[in-house]
Amino acid sequence: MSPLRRLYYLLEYAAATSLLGILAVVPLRFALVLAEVISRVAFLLMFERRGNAIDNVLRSGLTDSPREARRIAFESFRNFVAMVAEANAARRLITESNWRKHVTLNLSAEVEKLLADPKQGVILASAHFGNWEVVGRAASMLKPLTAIYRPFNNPYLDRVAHAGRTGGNLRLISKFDANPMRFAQTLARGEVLGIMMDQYAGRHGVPVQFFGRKAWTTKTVALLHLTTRCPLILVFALRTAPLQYEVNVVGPIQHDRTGNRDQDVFTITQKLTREIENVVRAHPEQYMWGHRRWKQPGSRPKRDATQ
Amino acid sequence: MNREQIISELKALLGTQQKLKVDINAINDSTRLDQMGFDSISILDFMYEVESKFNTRIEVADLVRMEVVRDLIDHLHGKAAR
Repeated sequence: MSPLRRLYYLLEYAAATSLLGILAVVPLRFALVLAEVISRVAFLLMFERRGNAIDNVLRSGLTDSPREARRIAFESFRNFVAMVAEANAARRLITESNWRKHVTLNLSAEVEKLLADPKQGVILASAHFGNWEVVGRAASMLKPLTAIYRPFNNPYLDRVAHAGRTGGNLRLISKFDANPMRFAQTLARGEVLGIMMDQYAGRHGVPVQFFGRKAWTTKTVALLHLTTRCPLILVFALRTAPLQYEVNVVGPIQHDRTGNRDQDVFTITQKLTREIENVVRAHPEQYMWGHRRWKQPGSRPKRDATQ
Repeated sequence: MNREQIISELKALLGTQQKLKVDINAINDSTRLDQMGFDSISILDFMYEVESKFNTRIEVADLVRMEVVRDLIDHLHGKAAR
């Protein structure tokens, strides 16, 4: 790592830890006021993210009004910063004894039974919607959960994020971990394996339709289901009020092999992506629109839509 | 199917895996599965193909117990013998 990059990472680390430290000790109401200010400043300054978000909302066809797209993109920024603030506060405010006061779980009897079975591994897919950190925390109250995550480029920040997001029944494993069996091992232990599946997966992904456009999506969820035959659920945590969430579950999804692996992977991934789209359509302001969901393999970075 | 036939079929399947780090011809009973260059997706791809090829089913509990190629061969041979 070059000295300049190290300095940048250390400054980023200092800023993030100071901010998270403040958010961790102040009352939630104050933390949310601070989050509001940060989201406004971020929306103003992070023009590339802002441009991506506005552009993505327009491309989704949810609106053809640039003004409305900008409003949804701004709400998306607000939701993201509030999520970080609340996830930070949740570590001290949401406990094993009171979590049901904060989280309303809408589970079918079938899913409840799966989560109650200590020997049954469950694949939990989710998206960057509402408060996805709460999805993991809530599920881990019912059954040990290991979430696959992408480490931050900044190793100092990654250490902090890793420590802050784990504990109790919740663990993280890096998507770059060298052990190829680690996902299967989690499921074999009868735990929940959590995977975010709504980000650009590059040419190793599968091109499914998301809002009528080709979106390269990870195959991992579908392949895990096909190979391990563990039940698959799709989970979202809708934010309904400060530190209040409604967790909704789609599934369990069971897809029997047809003998055509690529077709099976496509079918499962498309079905899950359609469900994500339905939830995003209903609450577009709670979706993280800033990432380039419809990026095509080999494509060059796009110009900022606001420029 | 005997063990030699199984390993020959496995090598043919491994030959279709693009990410492998090991020379297919150098693979033997004691080659570790986690040293062959599989990543978390390609191992799933491979196991799917193994199950299809041998018309068998590998439970996840059996899969995670497999450490070397011999374990996989034993499993497939045992199933074939039944």
